[in-house]
Amino acid sequence: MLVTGDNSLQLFLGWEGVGLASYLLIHFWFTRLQADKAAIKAMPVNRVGDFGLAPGISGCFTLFQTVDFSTIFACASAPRNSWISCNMRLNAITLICILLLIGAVGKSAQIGSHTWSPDAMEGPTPVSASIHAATMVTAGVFMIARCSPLFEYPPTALIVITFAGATTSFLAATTGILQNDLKRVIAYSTCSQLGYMIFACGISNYSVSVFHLMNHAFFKALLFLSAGSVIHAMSDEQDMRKMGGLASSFPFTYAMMLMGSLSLIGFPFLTGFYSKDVILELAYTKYTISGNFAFWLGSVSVLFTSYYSFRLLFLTFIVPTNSFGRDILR
Amino acid sequence: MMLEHVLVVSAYLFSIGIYGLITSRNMVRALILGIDGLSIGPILLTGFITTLATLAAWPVTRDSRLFHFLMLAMYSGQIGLFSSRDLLLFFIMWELELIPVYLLISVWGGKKRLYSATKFILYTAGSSVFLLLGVLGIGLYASNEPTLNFETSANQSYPVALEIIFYIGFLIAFAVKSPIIPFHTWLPDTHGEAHYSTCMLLAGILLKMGAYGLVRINMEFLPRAHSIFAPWLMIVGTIQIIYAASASPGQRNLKKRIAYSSVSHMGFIIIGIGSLSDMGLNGAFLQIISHGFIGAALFFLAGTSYDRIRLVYLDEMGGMAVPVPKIFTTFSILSMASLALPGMSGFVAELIVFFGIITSQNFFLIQKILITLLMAIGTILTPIYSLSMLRQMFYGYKFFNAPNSYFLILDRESYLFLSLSFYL
Repeated sequence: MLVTGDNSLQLFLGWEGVGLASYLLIHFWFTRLQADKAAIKAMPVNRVGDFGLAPGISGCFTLFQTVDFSTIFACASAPRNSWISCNMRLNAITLICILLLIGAVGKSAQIGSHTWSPDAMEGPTPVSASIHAATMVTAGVFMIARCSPLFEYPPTALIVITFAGATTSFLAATTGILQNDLKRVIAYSTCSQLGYMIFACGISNYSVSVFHLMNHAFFKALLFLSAGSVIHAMSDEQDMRKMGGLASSFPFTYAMMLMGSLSLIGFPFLTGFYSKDVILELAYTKYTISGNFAFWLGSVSVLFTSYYSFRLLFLTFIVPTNSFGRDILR
Repeated sequence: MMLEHVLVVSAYLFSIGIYGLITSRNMVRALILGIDGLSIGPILLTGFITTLATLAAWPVTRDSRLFHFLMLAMYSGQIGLFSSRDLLLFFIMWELELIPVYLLISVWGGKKRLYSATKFILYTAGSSVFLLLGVLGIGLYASNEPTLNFETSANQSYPVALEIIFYIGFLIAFAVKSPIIPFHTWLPDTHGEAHYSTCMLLAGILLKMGAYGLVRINMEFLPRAHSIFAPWLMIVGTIQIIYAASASPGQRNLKKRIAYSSVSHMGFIIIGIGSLSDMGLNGAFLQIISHGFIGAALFFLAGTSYDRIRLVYLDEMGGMAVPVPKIFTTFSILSMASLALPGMSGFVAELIVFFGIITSQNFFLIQKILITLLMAIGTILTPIYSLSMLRQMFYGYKFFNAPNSYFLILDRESYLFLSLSFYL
């Protein structure tokens, strides 16, 4: 309903629905207190995002008297309400787009509302794979892409989006290089890649952003699932420092994870290359401050991405065995 | 019970026909009853909730006949209130509610029952004095002859100063009943100590009586005063949502937590009433009905879990998901309904109130934006207390010796609640 709705109310319905699904699935093992705390953190942080989205939708309703997407997009250029506050002239449509952006920030775990994403790794790995790689976290990006005719009008909002996305990709990547938990590295990597998608939207290339979204869904789900296989094989041990030398024990998983990581860092001719490289090229060729900022931060994030991806691979698979014998199941 | 309810309603309609034939000059003799679109919703709500509350009172074995009699007395009071077309009858039915609730709380309540019952009755009776003053004032002020009839009083126009005086009087009465901050303090004590079927009736119906009175009397009879006071109502409603939603996570008593959530949801109704727009009023009314179901259902589940584990304080509970899975499921779903998850009736009601405020012609843009943002803060705060309530009750690993659910009837009843908290 999130993606097929043709008005923003159905979008909101689907939005909350995926938030609910993530809440219920994160505490799948509900006797585990960490999981419950994480689930409770997830729901209100999503709600903080909705604190932006709901007034954004109400604002749309005020301006356009309708919530239907086709109508809104058709007459998006019409309203010119503006008021002056804090020595800045705020158009109504700028405010609406910033509010919608806050919604996306909450849902897609951008910096500012990213705190739920690492804790959401308490859920089972298939949950992480589907919800936190492919479907829910992309809801924010999808919403921005869907409302792209609306976002084209306020240049201020686009600059804000670009800054937010670029900052997220950089900060999440720097956090990811120091994580010790296997799934948390992948979670921060998701935040970082979402930052890429958001700033690709911010430089007005929505189709590229959606392209990266699709690619990311696939290789991130691959990473999560193979991480799940490793974790399960290590009898629920998630700390990477305690793993090692698994390349000979789990060759298939190793191969999958290698492919996923290579795709994530944009290795030539894998899917990540096509989408990430295009984003960086477009950022470079957009001669605005925000475009250049995004380019530099994005490139540095690529460096960090490859660092943490290979760190993950090394610590898990290649380094001589660090784990205790009793941790390895057969 | 439902059949009886239908009979009662038809009897009332019949009696309207009879009274229509009799023109009476004495205002005391003509007690006129009537139902219109505004009252049919709460009447049906009342019937349904009372039915379920009676079923919920199944395990009451001490003086159960008195218990059910008092519940029936409340029921007749509520139906009479929602269907009265006459100010005196309105007032009589309003007063009729007080004594049964006092007895219900003080005989079958929790540990502090006498204190909360006395607090309830003093508070509410004190506010009813203002109601009586307002009723007599409006009744005596009619044009040709003193009359308490709704129709003539509604078409009466009063001077603005008089309207304001009446409005304040009625507002105090309704502010205590449908709790408007700062007159809400009777509610957590009362709900915390009453037996859960009484809580269902209180939260489901009595609170809505106050809101209904606000719409019926303050909006219909005193429109100019209402338009003066409406911005204040909206502000108070917004503060109420945030205040009660912030007070709720601090409660250790489970029923008090749900009581504060009731206060918070009533804030939406107050905002809808004060929004001076058609859509806002619709949203308020939908929230009246929706919150009636949700609040009553939450109290029912809180009560049934209390029946099984005999623990009132949340920090002693934990890990109940395994022994009582049905309660767990229904509680989760109802908490989702309470936090206005889309797909449930609460969301529709809140959304219509949102849109009602936004499209209201009577306020400046800045005010509307401010109120909308504050309401949105309310929607952030609501999941915090309801989800942490869920977590404290159900998750974790403490195990209890809970008797297995032999109240299968009541579980089916709770499924009925569930099906009604969804919007079609």
